[in-house]
Amino acid sequence: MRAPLAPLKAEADYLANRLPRLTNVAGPASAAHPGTAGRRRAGAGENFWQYRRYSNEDGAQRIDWRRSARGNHLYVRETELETSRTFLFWVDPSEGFNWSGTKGGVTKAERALVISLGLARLLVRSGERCGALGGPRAPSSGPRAVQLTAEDLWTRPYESPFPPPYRDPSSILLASDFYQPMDIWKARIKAHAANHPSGVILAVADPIETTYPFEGRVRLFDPGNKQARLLGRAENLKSAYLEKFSERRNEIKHLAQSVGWGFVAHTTNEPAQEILAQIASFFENRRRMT
Amino acid sequence: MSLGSLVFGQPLALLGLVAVPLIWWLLRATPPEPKRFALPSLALLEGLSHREETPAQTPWWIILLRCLVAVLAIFGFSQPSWNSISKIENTQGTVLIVMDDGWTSAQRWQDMKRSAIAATDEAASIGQASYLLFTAPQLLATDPAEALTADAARRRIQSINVSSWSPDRSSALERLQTAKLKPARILWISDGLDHGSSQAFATALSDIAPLFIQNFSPAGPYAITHASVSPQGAQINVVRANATEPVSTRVIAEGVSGASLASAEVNFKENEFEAQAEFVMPASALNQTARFRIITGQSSGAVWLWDDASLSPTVGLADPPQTPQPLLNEFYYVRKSLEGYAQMSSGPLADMIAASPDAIILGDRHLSQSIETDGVLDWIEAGGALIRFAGPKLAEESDEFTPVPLRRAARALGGALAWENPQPIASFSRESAFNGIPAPGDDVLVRQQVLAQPDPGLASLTWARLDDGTPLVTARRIGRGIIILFHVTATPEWSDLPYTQAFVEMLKRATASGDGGANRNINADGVLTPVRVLDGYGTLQQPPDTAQSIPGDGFLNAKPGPRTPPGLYVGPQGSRALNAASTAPTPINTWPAQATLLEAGDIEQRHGLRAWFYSMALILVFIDILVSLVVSGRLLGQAATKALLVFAALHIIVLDSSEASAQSQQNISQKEREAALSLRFAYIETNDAGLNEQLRAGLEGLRLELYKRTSVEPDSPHSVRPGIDTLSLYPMIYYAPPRNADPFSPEEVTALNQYMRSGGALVIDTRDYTPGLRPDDRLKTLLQGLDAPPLRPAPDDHVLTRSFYLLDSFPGRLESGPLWIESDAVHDETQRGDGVSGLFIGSSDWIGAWALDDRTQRPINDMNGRERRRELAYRFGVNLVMYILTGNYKADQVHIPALLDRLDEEQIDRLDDGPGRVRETFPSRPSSSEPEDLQKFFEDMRERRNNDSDATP
Repeated sequence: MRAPLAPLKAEADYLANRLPRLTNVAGPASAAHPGTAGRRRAGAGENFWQYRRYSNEDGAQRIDWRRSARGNHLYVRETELETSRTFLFWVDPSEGFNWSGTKGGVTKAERALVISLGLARLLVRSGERCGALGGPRAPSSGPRAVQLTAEDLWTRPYESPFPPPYRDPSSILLASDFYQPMDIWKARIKAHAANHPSGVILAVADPIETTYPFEGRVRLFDPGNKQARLLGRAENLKSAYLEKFSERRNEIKHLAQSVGWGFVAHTTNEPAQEILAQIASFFENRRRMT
Repeated sequence: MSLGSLVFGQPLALLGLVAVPLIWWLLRATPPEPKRFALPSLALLEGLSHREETPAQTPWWIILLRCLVAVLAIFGFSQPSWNSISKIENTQGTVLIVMDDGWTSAQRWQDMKRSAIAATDEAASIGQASYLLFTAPQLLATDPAEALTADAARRRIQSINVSSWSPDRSSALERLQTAKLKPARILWISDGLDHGSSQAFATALSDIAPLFIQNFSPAGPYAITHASVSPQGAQINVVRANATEPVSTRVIAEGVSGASLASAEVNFKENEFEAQAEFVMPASALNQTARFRIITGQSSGAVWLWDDASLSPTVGLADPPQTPQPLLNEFYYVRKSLEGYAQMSSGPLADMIAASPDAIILGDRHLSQSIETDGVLDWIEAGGALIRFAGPKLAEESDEFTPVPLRRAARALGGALAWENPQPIASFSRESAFNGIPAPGDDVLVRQQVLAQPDPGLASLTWARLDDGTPLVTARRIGRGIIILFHVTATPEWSDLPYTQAFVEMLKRATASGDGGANRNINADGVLTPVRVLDGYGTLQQPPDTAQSIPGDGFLNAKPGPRTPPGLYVGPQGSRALNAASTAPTPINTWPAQATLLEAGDIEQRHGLRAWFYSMALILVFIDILVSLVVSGRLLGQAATKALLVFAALHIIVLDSSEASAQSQQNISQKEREAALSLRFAYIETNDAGLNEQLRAGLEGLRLELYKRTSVEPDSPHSVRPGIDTLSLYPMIYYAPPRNADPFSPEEVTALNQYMRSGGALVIDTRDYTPGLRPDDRLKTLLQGLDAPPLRPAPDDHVLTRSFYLLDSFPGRLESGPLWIESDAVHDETQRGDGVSGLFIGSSDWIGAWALDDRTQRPINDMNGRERRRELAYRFGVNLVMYILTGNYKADQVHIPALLDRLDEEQIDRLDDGPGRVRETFPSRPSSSEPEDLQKFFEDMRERRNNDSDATP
């Protein structure tokens, strides 16, 4: 059962409002979607960018006569390139992801959604387009974009299949717990990396999963795929489990790095603000880094 | 039911064994469902092999262990016992069990029953029936020839209670003989007492079949055989069956409602079967006594009902002279003296002798003339007391019925022709039977008397003498009786003695020394109907329908039996008691040679195995706990320690319960410990809960004030009950009698006397001071029996006025009334505790002024706006405690400087008044003896002080 959307969106807004406006967002721009996000270089856009000396390739109609009249040279007026980048979000729709170890606590999916929406909010504010990966509606920009993204992410039925890559190059945020077999993830991420040069993997875990606080005779079951396992002395497996857990984290991280994506790990008992700032800065700085 | 020698008291409990397979199945069932937890990351664990899976089933040996616990517990519930009474060789054939079920068996009835049941079980184990014969007569006697199975015999034995009368073995034997029973052997479970026919009975039994005897003679004192009035109170005769070692027990005198009025100790010396308990109690208490009871005895014989006839001695006034003027009647003063104390009847001496009273009082007459002198002697020897008064006739001619030979003629003292003056009566010597009676005093004079012939033995026969040593009352024992002669007339003709209280007491003692023997004066007419009867265990009950009335003339010969159970019978002449043990049975010393006497050990061999089974089950449970802990790896945790403790505790409870209880009796109670470890005051608990609370709050308030003001730091007060709590631990006990307070009971009086004697202080506050009125009369009734010395109001200069504060008066919530203290404490005569009073009686309700609310620490009672009085009350309390704690230590010491200062101020004032005043006229406040010395002492002190002040600057 998924939680109502409105409080989550409000929380995401709150998180986003505490971060500065994103500038210089990296990612593949799509010419087909002119937007309002300045790209800090000359191009098609509305805002003035610079005057530059006339070169022969330029058409005569491009000469800015008002500027040229003040000197001996001809100048061309250039505007700042304004395009919008597309950002796609995917929050693992499996039942095991929408789960919290503590009764009434925040589930992993809720936390992932809050972070995703917070990021979407920041992006929309700077003129980018947002949407749900594999969602029924195309990415959009403008004030309604966050709401649409949220709805698409949150109304997706449980256990719906992993969507294929988007047709246009775009940035991507994948939020999951990444407990499925490594091979599956490898295949999925390799497939997406081709069309999504920029991406972030958000691995969300519950405190129960990171600490393994079980003792004695317990029957553990997976709420996602309904598998169960009876452990006579659960504490004996603790170290092995923790090893496995960090090993999986590392594998996912290496996988992300191998395709040039960022990796962020989060546990639901930690504050979400930092993690949002981390992801936002990743998208901001990516260009500078590369 | 029995399995060989294993006998089960509750065989039905063994049905529980049916449940064992069920328990097995339950224990075998799958282990409890594990706790379920969701873990989405479970997939990570795939491929990890789990090394230690809990087995799905409990190991079989644990199940076995637990089933064994259940089996053992079930066996324990069935009350098994091990029966090995196999000393009897001839165990074949039927057995006749003869049981003595009279009151003499009450003490060991359980043992006897167990032994009988063991015998029936044994007979049943070899498939033989058993027969039962009870020796105490019953209205509906059972047929001894009835063959009984073990169960039926057990039921019958369990249902039989001891009778309150003695067994009648000869009639039992008759029943047996008419039944013509031929058992293979006879087991006689005997009470070990010879009820007149034990030898014949045993012989007759052993003629029928081989006889085995088990002797269950009562251990310790078991019966009161006689009780009589003694000069001090009452004398109780107690018997026992086993005289090997000295034993002591107590006899209680009980009132009608069962309240204990007094108790006395009985000490049996070695090899003595009888002992006497001497009750020292006033006649009023004796009259309230309804029965005497041996504290350790639980049978109708251990209770002696005290009827009207025993309450007061019967006195016959022989040959009363016919005088028209009552005051000149010879017996006028005697009648007045004995009124209310003795039952008096008068008539010719012959009639009196026939009625056989305790005492016969004879006036001045010569006995040898009469024909009935033989009867008189017999009666005296049977225990009568002949009390004679002298007079002219006796002086004329003596007879043999005098304790000492008399001189002819009387001695006249005083008068015109006599050399000697009339003599007062000397105080009674310690050896005399009149010891303890206050001497009449010097104004009671004897003017004329008869004289005894001087004789070396005369002194020992003299009960009272004159100041010059001539005997006034002589007495001589004859047989069980006594002759007592007053050497004066019974009228004031020869002496003032009949006017005095001493005369009353002397007459009472003299009558009480007589004992009319068995022949009580009982009216022949009328019937005596039972009102209360005793059961075999000595509890009083409503008489059963079968109980019959006894005709008055037959009462003396009545024997306790099924139709006339022992108890209290009421007839026209008052109540008469039929006591079970009035004919004391003697222990059987020799048993018939042909009988086999089984020893006590032979019966005791049947051990209860219940505790053993329980304890085995507990041990197994403990092993189970240990195993579970080991399996789960938590052996060294806290749980194990706790389990160990619980187990040890349970074990101790099961096995050593008797020891534990014995130990707790020796322990000092928590209260005593508290009282001993810190200084505490106490108050006597009253029946009024509100008053108790006031008392507690009052002492608490005083405690806090003491804490604030002085170095006395007492702890919270205790409530005490005299006679129950140890009083000697408290320096001060406060008592505020409620309006409807009962006088102290004898135990309480004893405890309080002991307390005051050992230096304690008892403060009695009647809380009812009204100006101008003396303390209530109820104080007198309250203090009755209390060892209160003469009291007087505390004088102004008493130490109490300056033991801490300087006080003029001692007000409490009410105005300051007089504070009564022991008069010894006023002077320096150090009688006890250095002349410190142990008793303080006031009426100003100090406790009301002291009382503080626990929570708010504010006074409970308001003082009608006189808060100053409350302060004074506290000051009095402080002074009182100081006085109690320090005694007269503060008598002169503490306040000398202040007193001197005050004197100085007064001196200056007075000097101002007029120049003529000099120092010598100052009032001397401190109470010490010689004022001159004090003056000198003050001067010294003052000089020293002046010198000091001169030196210091």
